[in-house]
Amino acid sequence: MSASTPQRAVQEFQAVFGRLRDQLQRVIVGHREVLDQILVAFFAGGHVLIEGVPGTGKTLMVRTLGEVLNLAFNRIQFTVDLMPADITGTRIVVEENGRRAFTFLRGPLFTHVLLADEINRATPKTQSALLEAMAELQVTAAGTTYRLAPPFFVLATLNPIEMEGTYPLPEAQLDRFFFKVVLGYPDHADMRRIIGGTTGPAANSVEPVFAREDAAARVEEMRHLVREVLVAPHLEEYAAALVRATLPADSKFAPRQGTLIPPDEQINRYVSFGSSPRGGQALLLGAKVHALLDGRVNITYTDIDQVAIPALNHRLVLNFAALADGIDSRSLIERVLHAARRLRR
Amino acid sequence: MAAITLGLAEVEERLQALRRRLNLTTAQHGFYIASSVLVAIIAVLVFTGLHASPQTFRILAWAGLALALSVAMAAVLYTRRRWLDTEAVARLADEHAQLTDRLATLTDLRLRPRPSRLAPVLVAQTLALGEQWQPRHIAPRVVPRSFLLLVASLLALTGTALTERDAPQPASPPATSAALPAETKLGSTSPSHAGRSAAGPVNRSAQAAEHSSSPAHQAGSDPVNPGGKTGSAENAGQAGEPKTQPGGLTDRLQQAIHQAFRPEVAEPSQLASRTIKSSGEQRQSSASSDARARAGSQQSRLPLQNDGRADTRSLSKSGSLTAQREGASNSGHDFKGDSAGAGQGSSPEGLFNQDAAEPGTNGDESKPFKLTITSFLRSAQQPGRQQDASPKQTAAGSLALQTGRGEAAISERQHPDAALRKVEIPPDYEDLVRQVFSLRPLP
Repeated sequence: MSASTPQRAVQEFQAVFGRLRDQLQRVIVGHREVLDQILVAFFAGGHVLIEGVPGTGKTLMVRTLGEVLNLAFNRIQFTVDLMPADITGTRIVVEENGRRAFTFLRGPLFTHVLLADEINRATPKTQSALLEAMAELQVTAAGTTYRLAPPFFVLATLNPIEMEGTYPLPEAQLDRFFFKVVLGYPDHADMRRIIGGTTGPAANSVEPVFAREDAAARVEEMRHLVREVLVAPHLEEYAAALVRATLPADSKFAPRQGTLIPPDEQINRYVSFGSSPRGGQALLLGAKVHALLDGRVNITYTDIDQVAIPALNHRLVLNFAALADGIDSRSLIERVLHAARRLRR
Repeated sequence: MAAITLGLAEVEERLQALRRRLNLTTAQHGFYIASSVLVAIIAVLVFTGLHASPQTFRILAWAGLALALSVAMAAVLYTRRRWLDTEAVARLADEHAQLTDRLATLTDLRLRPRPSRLAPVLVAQTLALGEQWQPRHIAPRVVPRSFLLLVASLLALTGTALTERDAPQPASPPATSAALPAETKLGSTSPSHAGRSAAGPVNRSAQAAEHSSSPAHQAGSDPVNPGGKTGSAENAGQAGEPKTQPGGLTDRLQQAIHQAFRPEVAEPSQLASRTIKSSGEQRQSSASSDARARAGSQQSRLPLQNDGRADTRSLSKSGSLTAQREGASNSGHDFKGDSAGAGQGSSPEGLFNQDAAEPGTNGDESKPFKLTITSFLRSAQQPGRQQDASPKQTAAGSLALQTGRGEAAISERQHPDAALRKVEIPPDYEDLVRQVFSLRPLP
């Protein structure tokens, strides 16, 4: 095996990622960090939960991504009366040649890129319909399991306001999301560019990066490359220590052994449940994408730190004391990262 | 796969070279620090051995020993803790050369059952950055700062040794040319000692004489207890010094230090009288007053017993009792036996003939018998002679034996004489001394 082929694959990864970012930024003004996080999660094989106030371009962002990737794209507007079968599909009676038979009618879940808009407006039962698809890339209906065609990428949006009539996502559902990114209001310059660019006669258009016929294969190839990135043992240890540090000391589910990072007082006070091992997986996979974007084939501490907040913030279940004191997950994770610096010898 | 293997082998080879260099530096560092502390301890012990009382020296010696052991143990632990394995060296090189954990990842790559297809890329990238992590860049061959500490400690030790060896002693007249042949003739003076006496203006025997007349010296000069143990509680109280353990390790060490730097004051009894930073004037004053007091109370003693400071000093230099005598301090006393006329000729009878004493008349003449006494004293003050003589062969031991089995052989008035009993007499002079002190005619 020569080094040229993998080296070229790394360079191609960087090039594709750059082109995707450029195309997205032709439509999405600002939010470069959010775009990068979405692309990182996409190539790491995860799903993204986007939380933002209305009108900040969440839906536009996901739809543009589908167009740029040139993959099959579906959108589901979650409402309170949405049923699981409306997502996964259902069996219907079809009369053919004089005979009636049940046929499975695939729902909007059977796509490559799925936009689950305002996912918290659906009932938990409907939300949970996504669980199997997100985790195992399959759907089971009427006793029959149907495989989803890779790549499968769910982008769910979440409205933090207008909480009346909404159903907060259960922890199991939240844990399925690779990243949770927060889309805030644009700054003054971006705001001016947004209102100026979207009120003209011509709308901004994007060009697909992949050809339609080989888009899925190319994406899968890139995802495979990400998993080939090398990780040193001490970095695996570092990621594991970060995840362990999010567990409160008095948690009955946490092992009693000491952690590499000393327990943080605020973690113990404000966190009910810490991150699951999925958080650690997200740390390493996200770090691998960052390493490839930097032209490296091995990860570093910085790569892990860059993805720590989006990978862990939705996995920390805060208690009422945190709500009362105005503590959010981001500040707690930053404290953990600060305490973990002593491991970076 | 061959490329990966070759690349990994090269990386491994370089890491091993870097590891050897780093661990060697660590070992050197620990050795230098431990050595410098040990040398500093030795310097302190040398200084305190020359200036401190035996008790103080004993405390410092044991403390120094404990500190030295602790330092040695700490050096071993330090080296062990900082001893690097290959993984640690890889991480260190990553950090120093900013290789973004490439080396650490490569080191782990050997242990992975299925190498990634990106491994060749990592090897190629690491070797391409090879100049950044050359061993000479990460661990350059420079003299560690701890070596400077060792040099400073050695300088301190050398300075202490030179200062103490060349420390100004109480001045005394240079040796006369007539005395040296006499000493040589009797064979009681080593060539080295004779040469030192003739060459240098500093007379160390003067300091010995000075100390020999101090109360502490008297207290610690019991021939039964040659190790320096105080003779009586009263004398110990006069000296203001605690009792010392005879033949103890620290005492022997202090004695060895004195023998190395100041052979004339190497006796344990004399060491007991020393205190840190006592001025020479104070010692001289106390010695002179003590000598005068003793001269007034113990008249008609042997020349060696009377005013040992003045006599010993003059004897050691010139071999003449009268030539170096301090007339000012002794003129008011009746020394009798140490008069210039004593011992004229070859007969010791004149030593105790008061009528023959005519101070200042014949004292300038060197007499063979007096030269014998001189040589005897000088030989007793020589460390080499003391070391050569076995304990049983020392005059002090002989005197002790005589005291035990034949009190009649020694005059009663010689018993309290500390100045003589402190002196170690070579075996070949033992009979002569016994003859002199028992007033018997020589055969």
